[in-house]
Amino acid sequence: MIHGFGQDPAAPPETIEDLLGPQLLAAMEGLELTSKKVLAGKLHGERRSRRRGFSIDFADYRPYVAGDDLRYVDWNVYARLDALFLKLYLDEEDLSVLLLLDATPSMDWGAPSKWNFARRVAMAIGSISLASRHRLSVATWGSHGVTYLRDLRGRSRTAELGRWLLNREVADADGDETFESGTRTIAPTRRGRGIVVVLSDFLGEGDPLPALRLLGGGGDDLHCLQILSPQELDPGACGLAGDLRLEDSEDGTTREVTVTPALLRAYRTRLDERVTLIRDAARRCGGSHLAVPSDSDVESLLLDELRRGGLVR
Amino acid sequence: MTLFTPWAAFWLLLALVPLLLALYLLRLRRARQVVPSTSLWMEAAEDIQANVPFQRLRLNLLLALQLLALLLVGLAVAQPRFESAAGRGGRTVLLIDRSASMKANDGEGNRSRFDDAIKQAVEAIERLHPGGWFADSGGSTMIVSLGETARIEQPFTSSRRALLDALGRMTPADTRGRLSEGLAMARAWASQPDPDNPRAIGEPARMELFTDGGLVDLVNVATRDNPILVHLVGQADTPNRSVQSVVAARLPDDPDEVQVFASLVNWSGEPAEASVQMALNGTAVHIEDVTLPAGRGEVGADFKPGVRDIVFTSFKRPEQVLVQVSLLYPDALEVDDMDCTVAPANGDVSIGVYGPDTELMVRAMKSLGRTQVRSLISTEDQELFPESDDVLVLVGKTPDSLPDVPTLSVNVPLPSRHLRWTAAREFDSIVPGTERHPVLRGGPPRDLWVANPQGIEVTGVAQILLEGVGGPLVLAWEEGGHRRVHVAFDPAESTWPWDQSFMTFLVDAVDWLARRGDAGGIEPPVAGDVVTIPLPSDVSRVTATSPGGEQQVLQVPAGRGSTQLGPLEEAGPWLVMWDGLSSGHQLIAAHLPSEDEGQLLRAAEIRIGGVPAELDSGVGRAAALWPWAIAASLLVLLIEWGVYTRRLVR
Repeated sequence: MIHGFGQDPAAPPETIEDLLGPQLLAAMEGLELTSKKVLAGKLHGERRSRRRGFSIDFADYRPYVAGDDLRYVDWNVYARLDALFLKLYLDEEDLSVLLLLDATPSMDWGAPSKWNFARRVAMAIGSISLASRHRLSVATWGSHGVTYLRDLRGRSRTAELGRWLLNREVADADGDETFESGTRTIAPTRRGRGIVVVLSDFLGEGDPLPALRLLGGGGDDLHCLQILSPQELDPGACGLAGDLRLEDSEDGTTREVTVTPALLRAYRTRLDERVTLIRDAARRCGGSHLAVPSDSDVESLLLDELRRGGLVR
Repeated sequence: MTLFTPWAAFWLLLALVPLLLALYLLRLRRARQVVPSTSLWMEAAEDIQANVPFQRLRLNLLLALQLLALLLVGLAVAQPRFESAAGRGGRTVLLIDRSASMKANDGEGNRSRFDDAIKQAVEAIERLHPGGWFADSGGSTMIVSLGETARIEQPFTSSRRALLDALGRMTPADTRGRLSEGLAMARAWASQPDPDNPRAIGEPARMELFTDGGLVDLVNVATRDNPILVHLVGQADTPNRSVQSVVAARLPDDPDEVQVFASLVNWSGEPAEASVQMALNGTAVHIEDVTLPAGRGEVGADFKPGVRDIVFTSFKRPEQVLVQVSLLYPDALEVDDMDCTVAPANGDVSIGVYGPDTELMVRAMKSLGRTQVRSLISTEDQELFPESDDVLVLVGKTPDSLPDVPTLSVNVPLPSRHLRWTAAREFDSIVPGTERHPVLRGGPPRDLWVANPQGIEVTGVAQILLEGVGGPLVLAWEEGGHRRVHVAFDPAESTWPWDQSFMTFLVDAVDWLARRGDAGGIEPPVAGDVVTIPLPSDVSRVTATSPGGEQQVLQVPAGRGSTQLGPLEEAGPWLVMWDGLSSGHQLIAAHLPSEDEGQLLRAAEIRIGGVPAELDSGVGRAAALWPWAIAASLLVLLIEWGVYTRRLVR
């Protein structure tokens, strides 16, 4: 084993402050999640819906039919036109936000750790969502299967979110829960529509398109954050060298290689192909894709990258 | 292609190939590293894998290239070669010509023919006895050098080191080269290679001859059923000039005056200009420009070199003088550009005639000129022999012991250990002979009848100069440190005094015995000869200095009165010095046989014993392939490295 290669020397976060520091919290003030789509929700929230409802924003008139609520008849119009018209208003609905975290063993790798970075990003996005009174659900998939934290709402649930994230672990035990199987488990339980944010390294084999279609095909805004460690992005520069037996962190398979410039070039080509594959799949599902190094600054990610990507404003 | 050390390669590959495969079978222990997902990481398929546990051997280009490189290294260790027809194993005799013509510098980079021959012989030894791990040629090789006589430089051995050392010790000589003796010697050794097991007769040994084609007896050698592979060295058309002979003669009317004759030879089809120098005792006294005529005829058949005889202006020099004639501008063969001779000192000879009736012989001796003759007729006068006379003539009376002076004995039973006296014959007549000797420089008698000749049986080294039907008539030899001439009949009872050869015989015999004049000096030796040097009886140590300046000390047994020097490997003046009460010295001018060795031209076809020789064309010569295998292995490793690097950076 190459000493320290891919191992995060930093201690994992133990408190909510480790996940969401005061500086980041201050920077997030005023941020809110945005969706390109106006979506229907289960509860009246702070998110304007296309459904006509009971907000104060006037939308249109329609002729009165029997059974309509007489409280919404526009009597001024009746006085002028001697006909009953009903006033229609835009309904205010809550936004359903789903954060999906990849808890497979491959995430527990890199310096800084991709798993820790993903939890910090999830904590930040989740906090913004709760502050906006959106309905927040968080789920992980990994060797231990799928875990949920459902339907949080309001700023007061932020601590609960933090504790839940702190208690999540990447299990070393073998499991067969992949991104696709995890998605098949999570998607049918989704309540409402809104924003789906997937935090994963997307390094599993196979085509990610079916799984992403399950997540984005229902009209949700899909955002794929592909988290990669610096050791994955440039292993040669980070010290990977020599004759090695590489062991897959997820399925334990091994491959014997001699690290040469040619091999590193071939690896980089394959990685680029993989990133392109994820990006194309996300776009085909109407979503966005962003490759994020795990050593990125979360504040910059929120204020710059995700704002440009349309997730926050 | 032949693999010389296949077992070495086998064991090497047996050890290394499984090792390499094991590296691919064993898994490499790698550091474990947890990553979020391995799906993004490619398999490093090209990697050499882990130690434990084993894994499946995968098809891998790198493994294939490494195996190929390993196999090529194994091939190199096996020492593959392309060989000529003469392969390894069995017995091989390397016959190396070291005659004077092999000194010609007409090889690549002015290398001598001898050096080329040694180089080719080294290649042959490397082919026959490859070095390296687990090398085993399975054969043995003998090296014989061919000069005037053959010499075994290295008996049969399988030791590559010993053979190479023997080649390294060899040097060329100024002698002729003869094949027959070396061939006979090689066959004798090859047919009976094991002295401890005389019955072990093996297959005929392969003969490989390294020569420039200048061996004098190539035509006469019988190859039998054992062909000789000839490695030719030197160019076939190298011209040469040589001083073939030098003669210094004292003029009859003034013996203090010396006349020098030289014969210059042009071994080329074109005329040649030359500057000739004559030096006396090492000091040049005359230089002359001459044109040498072109040679005529076909090389290898009836080629006759162009010859130019020169007579130098006579000079007065009563004492002994060394005369050297040389060509000033050297050509391919330098050693024959000079020849020399020694003109003996001029002086009267003191002759004592011993016997009961000395009058006739005294008068004959006095008529020879430059002689002081006295008659010794009393027995008591024997004591005067050593000190008083240069030559003692014994007529009709025998001393009790062999006199310590040169003797001309006539019809007396001389006490010699080389002769045994038998019953006298009634008469005899000479038979034609071919012996040439300074004593008979004037020629033998055309016809000779002899009455009552002595019966003589030669038991030693005496040389028969005239031989009758019944036995020897005139003999010459050296004994007791002095020359001896014996006439086995009374000339007065023969027809010889009426033949003009009698007087020339007496003149030449006295000169030879007294070591005076042309006949008196040592017979001019030819390089390769063994020379017998007469010495005073008290001499025990002789120092001989070669023309090149090398000295050798010869120990002479007490009272022996002579020593032998040679074979003379170098042509030129040899100085022999001895100490003792009668200290003295003698110059010996060894002649280079340029009439045989000067011809560097060679026919296109070499015939041995009349049969065209099998020439080593060099096309099939053994060529080591292991450097190519190593190079190919390195190339494969380079490709493997390139593939590996390409995979790394791809």
